[in-house]
Amino acid sequence: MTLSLMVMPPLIGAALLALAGGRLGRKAIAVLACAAVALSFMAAVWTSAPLLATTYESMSSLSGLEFWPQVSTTMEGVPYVQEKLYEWIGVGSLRVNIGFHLDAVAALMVLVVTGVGLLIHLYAAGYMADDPDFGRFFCYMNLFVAAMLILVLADNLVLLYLGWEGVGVCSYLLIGFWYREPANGAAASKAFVVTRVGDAALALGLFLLARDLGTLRIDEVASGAARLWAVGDPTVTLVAALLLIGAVGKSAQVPLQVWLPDAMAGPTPVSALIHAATMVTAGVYLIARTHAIFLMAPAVMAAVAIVGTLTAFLAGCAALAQKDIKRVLAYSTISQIGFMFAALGVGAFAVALFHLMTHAFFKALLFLSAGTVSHALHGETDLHRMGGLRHGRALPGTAALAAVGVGSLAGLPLITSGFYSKDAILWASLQPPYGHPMILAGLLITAGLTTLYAFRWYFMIFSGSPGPASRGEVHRPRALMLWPCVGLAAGALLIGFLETPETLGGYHALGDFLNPVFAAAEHTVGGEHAGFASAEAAHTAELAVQGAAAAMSLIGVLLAYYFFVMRPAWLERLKQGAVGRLIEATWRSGWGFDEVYELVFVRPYVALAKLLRDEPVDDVVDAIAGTARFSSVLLSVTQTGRLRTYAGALVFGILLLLTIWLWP
Amino acid sequence: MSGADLWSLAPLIVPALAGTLVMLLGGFNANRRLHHGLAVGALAAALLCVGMAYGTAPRTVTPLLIIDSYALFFLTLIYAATGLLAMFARPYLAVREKDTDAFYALLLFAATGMGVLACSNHFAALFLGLEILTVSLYTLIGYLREDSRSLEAAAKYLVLAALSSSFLLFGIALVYAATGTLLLNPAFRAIADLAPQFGQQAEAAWALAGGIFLFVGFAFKLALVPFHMWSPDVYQGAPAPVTALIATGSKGAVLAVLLRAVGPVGLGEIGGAAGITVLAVLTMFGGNLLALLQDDLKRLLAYSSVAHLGYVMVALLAGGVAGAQAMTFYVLAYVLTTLGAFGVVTILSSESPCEADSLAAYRGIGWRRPWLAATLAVMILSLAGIPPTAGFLAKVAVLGAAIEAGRLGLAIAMALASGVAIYFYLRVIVVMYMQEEEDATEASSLPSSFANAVALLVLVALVIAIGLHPTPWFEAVRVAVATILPA
Repeated sequence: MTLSLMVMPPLIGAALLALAGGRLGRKAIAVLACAAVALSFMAAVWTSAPLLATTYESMSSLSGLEFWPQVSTTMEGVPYVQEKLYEWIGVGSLRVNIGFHLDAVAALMVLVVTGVGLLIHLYAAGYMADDPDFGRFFCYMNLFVAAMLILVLADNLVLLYLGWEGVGVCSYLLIGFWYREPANGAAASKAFVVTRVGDAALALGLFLLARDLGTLRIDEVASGAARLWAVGDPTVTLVAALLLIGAVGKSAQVPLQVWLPDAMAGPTPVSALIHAATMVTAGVYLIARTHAIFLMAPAVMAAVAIVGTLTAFLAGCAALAQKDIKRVLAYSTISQIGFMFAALGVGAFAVALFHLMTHAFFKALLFLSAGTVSHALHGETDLHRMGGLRHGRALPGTAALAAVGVGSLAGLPLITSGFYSKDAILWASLQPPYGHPMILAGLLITAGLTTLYAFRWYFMIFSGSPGPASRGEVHRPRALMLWPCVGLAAGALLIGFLETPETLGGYHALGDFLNPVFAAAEHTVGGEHAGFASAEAAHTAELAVQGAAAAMSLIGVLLAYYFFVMRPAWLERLKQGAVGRLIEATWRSGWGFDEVYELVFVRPYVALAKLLRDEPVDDVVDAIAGTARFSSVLLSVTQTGRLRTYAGALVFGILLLLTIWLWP
Repeated sequence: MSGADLWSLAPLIVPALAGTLVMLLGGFNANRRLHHGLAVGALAAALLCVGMAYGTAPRTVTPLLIIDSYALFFLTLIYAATGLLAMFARPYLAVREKDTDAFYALLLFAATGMGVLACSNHFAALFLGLEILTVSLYTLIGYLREDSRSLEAAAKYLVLAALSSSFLLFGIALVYAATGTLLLNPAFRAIADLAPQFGQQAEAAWALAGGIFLFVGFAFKLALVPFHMWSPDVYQGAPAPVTALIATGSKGAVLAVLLRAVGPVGLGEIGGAAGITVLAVLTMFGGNLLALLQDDLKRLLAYSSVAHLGYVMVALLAGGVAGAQAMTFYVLAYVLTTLGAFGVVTILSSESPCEADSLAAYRGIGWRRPWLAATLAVMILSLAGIPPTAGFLAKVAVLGAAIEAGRLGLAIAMALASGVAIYFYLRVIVVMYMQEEEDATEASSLPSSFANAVALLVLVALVIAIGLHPTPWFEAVRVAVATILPA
């Protein structure tokens, strides 16, 4: 019992809440749910500690004690903790275990999932306090954490798929949590159906792997693929492409991003946990986990980078035109995961995970702040009706916390974690063999857009004069809703220093921890002097990229301040023009993907469904049945009960036989 | 005839003697239990003799009869079926307060007739066996002489069977005239030799016409369409145990001799393939379509058995060793299954003097008599050919043989016909498990006899055992068929 200690508490918590949730009081439910995640977090720390100890000299005193779980190392020297519970499926030579595998990458993920998850659970205990379905909510939340941990810890792709579907189901249940509103149910179905497109592709990818490699264990898949296929082989390219489609669906990347903005129909803690910090990053995790496959398919790597950059840019534009407090954040999430995909696509897997971690903190913080604001304004979500909440007795604490989140999202230089992780991505996007200046350019522009929409969001809520919604009585947040945000804000400020660029000290705590897992990849990326002629040239280039990023971020802040605080009228006039109107409408609708899909997929499908409503296939079957029935009636006429008919039939039979026999 | 020959014939002699004994006893003793015991005991003893006869097989006793393991396989099946029938018949007759001596005596004579058919190697034995069986059946069908339906059935059967027997005899005469032999195999081989010279030689025409008339005789007994019309009336009118005998043992015996005569030569060789293909297709569809809207279980089972004989004809048409094996296996599965179905009908008809044949009488018995209903359900599923029952594997064997022999069209026809059949088979099960109507009278909770319960249980176990683990049964069939058709 090592790794399963992590999965069990939320699973048991969910079961208890499902069975006895109705009989427990609110306090008992909250304590039970939070305790389950807390236990899981402690187990995550306990199992990750020995892995950290193998990386860092300062922690090496930890190793050797009996208290920690047993650490093994692979042939390449990558440390891991493993636990096999039992064999789940054994068909022919295919063996699938319920087994868990914790290496550095998984350790990072479980710490984020359980750590951020715990803070969000605490916040939710305050946020949802008045909801009549308190028990059901925490049941789903615990179940989600358990499924996410299964996804992360799975030592084979089938179990990973189980977790993958598990988080999908929980996402569906939680988006539609307030099911009495039909729109919420529709949003939940949309999320489920759209991600299912990706899930189906992922399943096909797994089938291909199982067929050709005869195994789905992640470590064996990596080594088996290298043995069986050459780099660029069509099969491995197909597999990687299918895995990519799966990741694109789950992580809401173009062209399957349309479900995430609608998923904001769920309660805000759900948006923070599932649709920002953890589940939507599962696609990033999947690609990192199966990076060996992707590295063998350079074409797909390029596709990953292009999808990521394109998504980041498109969603960044869309975020700029939203008027719902949570939809801005939803598009921002899509855009930020685009950054992670771009990092994956250029082969900088550790960097993608770094951004995943910082994003988990600052985006969760932003969502929780948005939740606090809506809560304070009695459920108001329209940005245009807010304003001035920074001042006086309104929400100064939340304003400060949100400022930290926004700053980190915008990547304000030096002081925020977002700066470090985004800068790492920008720098990686230039490095051979996968990097390309076009990617860098796209991401830089998006970084500017990010600052712009982030501060637009902040200024519209907290600055200026109070809007119609924020003029009245403001509902003060509970302490339980404030303190988790403080924890997240601390993370959003500090965790960036785990990994600093060469120009700023070159401290690589996270890289040292993660890179052994990606050892093969890191050797091929960058090369000597990161692809530049000399160390000096590389140093200059890195400084230039940082300077550009910092400039983008600062210019963005200034522009935002100018447009949204100093001269809001100018913007209004700009929006009145024909071009302005068109751009705003396009961006607000998220580039019209929904409309196109409606036209291309939904309408024809609905039309087909209407056509088939009366089951024309059944008509054929009914016709056969009718014919049989009719023939039966017809034949029954011969059964007269009269002896002479029977004797006549006998003679007829003889004549029949004679005719057939004597036929020429 | 030597003593050893007599030992070999013991399986035929025992039921004949026992039948005579019961008849004689009946003159001064009306003890039903004694007659019943004698009949069942005699059939058990006959089975024992069958077992012993395996030691001396194969042995030809006079030119008429041959006791080989093929014959012994069918004798086992026939005697076991008749013995079980005799057991089912006891409460049935008891509740109707009929004299039983003649019934059991006739049952034993019918068993003898069927035995002779299974062993016959000669047209004389064939005709003799057939007539012993048929004459016994005339009386058995009309055994409930106060019941007009029973009498009507007997009269119809008498007239039509006599007509068909005359065709059979005429056929035998023509074949003898053309080939000069009455031995089954040489006669059919001679027909096969003559067939290509049709149109040039008068003998060929006689031989082929003889073959047709012979086959009509068989087709009547097997109730192939359009010679089937007697069968629903007779099935419905005859006492349930007698219906069971017509549906199981008599079909099995006639098929045994048909396969022995035709199998080694092949239907195609004697120019019968086209005609029998037409009959088989007519029979499969006719039987199943006529059963479709039946509201009387005995008539429904009559049409169902018509259709099943059509499937058997498919196996016969497939020919070769595979076809013969499929046919024999099908007969085994069909006899056990049909016996089980009629066993339930007989037991339900033993609860009151009226026959339990209307489908309405079965409404809700799934709740009143769960075990009986479950038994009938298993048998119906087996008849419909649903796994894991014997009926399913039997159909698979026949379809496999037909496809292997290149008779794809026939196989497709059989599959389609079986598809139609599912409807009325499932309807029986649905009716059994429907809620009873409010005014349904409480059935007498008269328990059926322990022996009958065991007999039904054995049949259910066999039907499912064959379906789940067919290997030993296939092996038995293979050994039996190998004696008439060496691979």
